[in-house]
Amino acid sequence: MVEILFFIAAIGAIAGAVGVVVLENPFYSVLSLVAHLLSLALLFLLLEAQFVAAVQVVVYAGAVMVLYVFVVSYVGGQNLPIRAVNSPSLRIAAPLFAFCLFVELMIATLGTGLSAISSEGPKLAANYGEPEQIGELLLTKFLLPFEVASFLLLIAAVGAVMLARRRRGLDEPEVPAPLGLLRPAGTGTMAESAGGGFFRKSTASASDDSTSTGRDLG
Amino acid sequence: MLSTYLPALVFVALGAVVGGSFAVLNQVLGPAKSKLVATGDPYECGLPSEVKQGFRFGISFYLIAMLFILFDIEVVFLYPIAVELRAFGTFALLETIVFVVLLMVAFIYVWRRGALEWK
Amino acid sequence: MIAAAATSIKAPYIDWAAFSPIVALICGAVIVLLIGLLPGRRVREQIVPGATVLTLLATLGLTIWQWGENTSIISGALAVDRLSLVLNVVFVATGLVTVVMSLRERATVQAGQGEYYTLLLASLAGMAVLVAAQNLVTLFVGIELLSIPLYVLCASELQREKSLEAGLKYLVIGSVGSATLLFGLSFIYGATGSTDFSGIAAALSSKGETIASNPLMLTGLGMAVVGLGFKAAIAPFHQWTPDVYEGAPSPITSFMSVATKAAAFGIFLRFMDVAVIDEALTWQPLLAALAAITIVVGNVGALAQTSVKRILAWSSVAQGGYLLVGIVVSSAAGLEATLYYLVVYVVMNLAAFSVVVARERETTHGDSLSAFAGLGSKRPILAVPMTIAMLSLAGIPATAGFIGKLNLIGASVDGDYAWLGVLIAIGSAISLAYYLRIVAVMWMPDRRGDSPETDRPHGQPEIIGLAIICSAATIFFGIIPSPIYDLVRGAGESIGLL
Repeated sequence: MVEILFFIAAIGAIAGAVGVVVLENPFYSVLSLVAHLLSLALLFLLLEAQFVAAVQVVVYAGAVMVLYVFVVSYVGGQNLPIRAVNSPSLRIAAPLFAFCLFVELMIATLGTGLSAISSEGPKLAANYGEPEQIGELLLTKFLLPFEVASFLLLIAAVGAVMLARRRRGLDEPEVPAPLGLLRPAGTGTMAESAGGGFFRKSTASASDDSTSTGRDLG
Repeated sequence: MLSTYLPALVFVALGAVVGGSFAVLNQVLGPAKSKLVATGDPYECGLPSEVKQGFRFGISFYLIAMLFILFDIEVVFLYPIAVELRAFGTFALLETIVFVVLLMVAFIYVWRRGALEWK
Repeated sequence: MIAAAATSIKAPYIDWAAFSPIVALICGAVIVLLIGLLPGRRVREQIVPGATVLTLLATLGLTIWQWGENTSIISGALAVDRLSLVLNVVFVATGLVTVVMSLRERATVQAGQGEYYTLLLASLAGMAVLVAAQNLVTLFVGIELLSIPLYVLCASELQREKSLEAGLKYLVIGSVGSATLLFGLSFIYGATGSTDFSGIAAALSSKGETIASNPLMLTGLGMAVVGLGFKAAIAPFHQWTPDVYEGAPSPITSFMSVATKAAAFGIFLRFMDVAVIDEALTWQPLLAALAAITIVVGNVGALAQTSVKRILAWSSVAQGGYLLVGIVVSSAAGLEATLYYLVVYVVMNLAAFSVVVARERETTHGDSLSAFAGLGSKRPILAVPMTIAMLSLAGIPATAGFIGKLNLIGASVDGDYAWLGVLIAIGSAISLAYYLRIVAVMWMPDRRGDSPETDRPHGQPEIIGLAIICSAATIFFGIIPSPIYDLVRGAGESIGLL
């Protein structure tokens, strides 16, 4: 049973992850990510991390994915299908580095992990992975990260509201500075090193549209 | 351990079967689709829908969803503490108060800045 | 059952005195946020920065009160020792300078004063947590608390597209770095079975074999170094630096270039010299290679720039390479040399950025080199501090930068990495080309006559004051270096280095 579930979850996780990258429509990518995250939840469950599995479903597969759908809708994904940057050097280098990383991670996990597969697995406490045990750890060993996490969430809320809040008088577009256009080529911007103006284009188009939309529905 | 999740599995399977069968049965048993254009529209009467392909949500949706996630994660942290509250006594209560006060500050900020108002 | 559990579990002891600087920063951030919600122009423009300054002064006072402490607090989450206390002083000083620089900044108005200063204090709190972290979980929470406010602060000039672009780029690249770091840390936990730095060190030393035999640990360490490299802007993970530094509001750029760098190198030092010190022979060549690449890439990259903020961004990459040398040698001397250079770097870089901020507001040329043309004859009060800062960054004798570089070269020779010392010297020679270019633009007679008009020559005494204080300190510590030696002495021993 465990073996069957593992293979279902593992195949689901890999297929979901591949789908996120391969699918052209960003909405399908998000849905593929949901499938990936649900499969991961099942894998967590198989690892006896029950609380983490539940959180994974509630927070990631639920809430975070809803946000992703909103973001994709907001940015108007359908008009701009996600495509790779059109640069020959990047097209060779990116898969090469990805492959190297893949090989490295395989060596890391297979090189040490295989020795534990044939055995019984780790000896776990009776309440392993249950909320009690996590609560105890949060109140003893990880007390500081627990409280700092609360502060971090406060700061995240401040940042989100600061960036997204509508203000009076800030809607008029600013006149672009003339000197910004005089930058000579070859000064090593990130756009140049990535082989194309990916960031520039995407931010420019997003800011162009943000003045016209938002009012339609907001 | 996994056997305790059998009800959850049955529930998921049941949901998939019911949902899937409705979709399939509708195709098989339902009347053949009319070829008229209007039945394909979201609303069959009134003015034609103006929503185009580049349909975009307002920023308020995004902001509310973002804030929901933040407070959702706070609850995730509080749940294990609540389970252990009795075992640790006053200490756990104090730590929870610190945690919730920071949460309250976030709430006050979000509320006073008008981020909860739908614009 | 509950009663039985109640007797068996003990709440951890919290040393509030040692924890107080971080508590002060967090409480201050919350208070500033709430004050910022109050109505009134005076509240926004005077009370909010005032409360921020008070918070920073309180933090400074509490840090000095804890001076000489060497303990581990809150279940081993944080280490309060010389290393973290020295860096706390650096962060608070940088925070104070940033508040002064921000007083007339447009970004504070557009973002809201309360939010702007709260995010600044939150980032400082994250740095304080990060450099004191001696647990992988605390490390990650600290690095996120440092980064997330900075992503937002970079984009805080909401009307300028470049600022938003900087925020977005920093967010994307920073998240890649954080994810890589987290992946690496989880591998390290998997290989050693502990999240505590001491536990990791114990696991590594008890195995009695080199790290090379454990691919999981090796991969984890490699990814952790990459993740920290993104935060510290070490080549080849530096590509975000020029764009983000250029786009962000100048006070924030200045804050990032010194405080973030200090925090990233602080945790780099502690992680390398405490947690994985037993495997130093394995990671030393890796870091040495990174240091060499960083010195070369940073200095060569700066040569072709026309924007002063971009020059300073590339220069900060190069300076990061010098700082890395002290970590490579993994000795107390190396640690103290890095810490010394960090303190010096903060002072001289802040002097340079004060002038950039002043010039940006006085002219319409932004941070372009042309904004500095003819500065020497027209505004010597700005040209002299900038010249001192440039000479010190290049490492000219009689400036603090010279002594800092000397320390690093000395540490590298002692640690059998003399070739890195040679590389520091070569890098400094290359760097003269672009530092002196700025100096030349300022002092050369303006032939073309396109030097910018100065609109408000006397509108910002506080920034000019900053530039003078920081450049004076650069000269002072260049002639009398002992105060900084006293500051950093013992930092190596406090974390158990020889």
